[in-house]
Amino acid sequence: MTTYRAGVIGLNLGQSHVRGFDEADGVEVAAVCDIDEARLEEVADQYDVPGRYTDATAMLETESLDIVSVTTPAALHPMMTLLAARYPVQAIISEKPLANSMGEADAMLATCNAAGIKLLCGYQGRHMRAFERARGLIADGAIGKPLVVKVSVEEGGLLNQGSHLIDRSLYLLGDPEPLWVLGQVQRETDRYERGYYCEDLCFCIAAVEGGARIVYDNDIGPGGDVGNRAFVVTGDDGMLIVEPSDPAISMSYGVQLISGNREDLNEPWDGVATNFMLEQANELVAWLNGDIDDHRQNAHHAIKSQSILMGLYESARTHTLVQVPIQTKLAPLEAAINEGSLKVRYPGAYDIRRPLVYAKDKVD
Amino acid sequence: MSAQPLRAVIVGGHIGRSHAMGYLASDRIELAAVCDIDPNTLEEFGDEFDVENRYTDYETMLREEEPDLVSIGTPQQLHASMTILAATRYSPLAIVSEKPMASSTGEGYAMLAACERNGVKLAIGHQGRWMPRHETVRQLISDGAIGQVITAFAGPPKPDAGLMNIATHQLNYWQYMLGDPTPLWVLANVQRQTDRYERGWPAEDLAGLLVEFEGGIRLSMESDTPPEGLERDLRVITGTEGVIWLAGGTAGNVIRLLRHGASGWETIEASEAEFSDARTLELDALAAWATGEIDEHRGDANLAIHTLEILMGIYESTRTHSLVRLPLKTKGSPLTAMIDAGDLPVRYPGHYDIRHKSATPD
Repeated sequence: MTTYRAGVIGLNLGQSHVRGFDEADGVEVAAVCDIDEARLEEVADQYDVPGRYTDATAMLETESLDIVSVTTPAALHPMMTLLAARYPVQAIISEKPLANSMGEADAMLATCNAAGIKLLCGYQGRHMRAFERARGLIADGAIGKPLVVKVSVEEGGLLNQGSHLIDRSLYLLGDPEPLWVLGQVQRETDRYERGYYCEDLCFCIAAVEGGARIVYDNDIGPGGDVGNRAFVVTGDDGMLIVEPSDPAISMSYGVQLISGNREDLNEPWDGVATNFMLEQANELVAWLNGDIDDHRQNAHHAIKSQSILMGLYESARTHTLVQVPIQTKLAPLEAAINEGSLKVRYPGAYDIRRPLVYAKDKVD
Repeated sequence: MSAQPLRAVIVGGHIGRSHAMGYLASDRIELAAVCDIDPNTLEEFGDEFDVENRYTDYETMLREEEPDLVSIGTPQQLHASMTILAATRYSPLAIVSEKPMASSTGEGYAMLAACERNGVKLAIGHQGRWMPRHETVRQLISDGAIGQVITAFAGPPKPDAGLMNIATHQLNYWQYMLGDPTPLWVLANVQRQTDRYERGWPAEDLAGLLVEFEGGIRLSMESDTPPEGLERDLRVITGTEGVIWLAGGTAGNVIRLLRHGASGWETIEASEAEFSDARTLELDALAAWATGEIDEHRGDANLAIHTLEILMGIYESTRTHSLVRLPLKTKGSPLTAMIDAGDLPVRYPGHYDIRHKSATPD
């Protein structure tokens, strides 16, 4: 059986991709790339990676890679993805979000489609057993027709943390097409996430195919008697809560169901911790081998959550309900800041993720 | 209690009709006079309810009639001046002003102050508080039927609803159903790309909002958004131990309840009472409140001011791109401020009014 050759660009979050590939069967990490040489050597030594590059083009020219992980800051995902797509690779995993704009995300998808490259987005949370279970319960009608998904995250910004939650909301609902987004954004401090603009807080209501709503907010703080990052899904015949088993970590969720038609399933279900990066790699190998038809991180799904992310910002920028597909292709948060409609009231640039450089090896 | 019925007057022959029906249904109250600036409306109004004393001037009516109860059924931009005039110069026992309370929180607080200083009781006409289904839901929540309330959602109620027209009713009865917790903050957005008005006052095309009440209960609500397959007027309340589901439209009196540990849904049929019946209960209670028979009135403006805070908070959150804490610092109308400042430019020109020709009182 083929062993796929993987290369990873960006070794902050990328270290976890390296580990996932290293642990998976059927894939080897052939090369890694980072502009920081010390970091490059550190990660390459740890996982015995032969190919070491400070330039992504050089790596792609030299290594005949099958799989490329783009694990740079978000602003670079489109450029690196489009670069990798010029080479005969089979799959590219762009970390989340796909891009900071709709136009770039559309271009990534179109380019990879045209080149026959499988494009994935780093929404690894879809592999959690609790979400599989909840998605299955909803698909089987255990809560009837889904009406509202409510989810909040206390900290971390929309594109960084919130994107996972919006993506997983769509996953729970069976990946319906978003129809429109109405949202609001506050950015009164000069806030950034790894060098790119980040809002102080935001919320949206998004309508999806079938009429269900996703009611989302971030950086406001907990409300009511439900935990941070809990998904509350209410249908016309029941409800379920998918909630972190331990509020301190977001990697293990449980499911509580109150069903009007399947009382036998109403016992709480405790989740297990998920090795996201291994799941991501295993499912990719299976997809490339033709053993499965789809990867749950397929960018065809991620482009839907991308519409909600961009729609939220665009709604705030334009004071409108934003229909999907979104006509505005540039980065709406950046545009709103440049136009002066989101003025900094409390000056002082700061970055919510810079202190975490090299510190994390997990999905978020 | 006075042996004589209380003397009520009504200004505004449009919405005032429902007040007239309510007064005539109560044996505590006598409808003494009616007022409208339009002579034709006034004649129709007076004839319909067989009221002889008719005025085209509000203050003349107050001076001549010395009423115990004053009903203000004019467009919202007149509620504050008419309430304050009646309270400060003619001191009736009680005033009931139509909803929304006012066009801005500044006006709302001025109404409260004028009535407080002159010993006048002030109620706002959100009669949803007397509808049996809302009473039932309030009781269920208060009894802990669904545990602690986590989140509540209200979908778009009907086309051309408007925040100041229909959402004011909704927000006010949501406060009631949730046990009247104080609203803490609002995060919202409003679209106004057409030159839309409701009885002469600027209205938005559509809105979506998130409001948090004391205790952490969050309510999200939509107004005039495309339903996209969501049943009209859908309302769901999700708690830690169950769900309450209120159907809209013709099935509006049915409450469905699903509790943890119970077997399937329970369906609770609230009585058939509609807004007109609720109006009668509201005005009958107003008379009892005015004479001191009862200490509290559900429509008390001190509760309705929270509704006005949320409504203005929706506009203010839109205007300032921020989560706004209540009570608001901005006391004027943030919607008109935005329009005046050019922050909500009309993209599709053409002045129109969603209620100008409506003959159906809400």
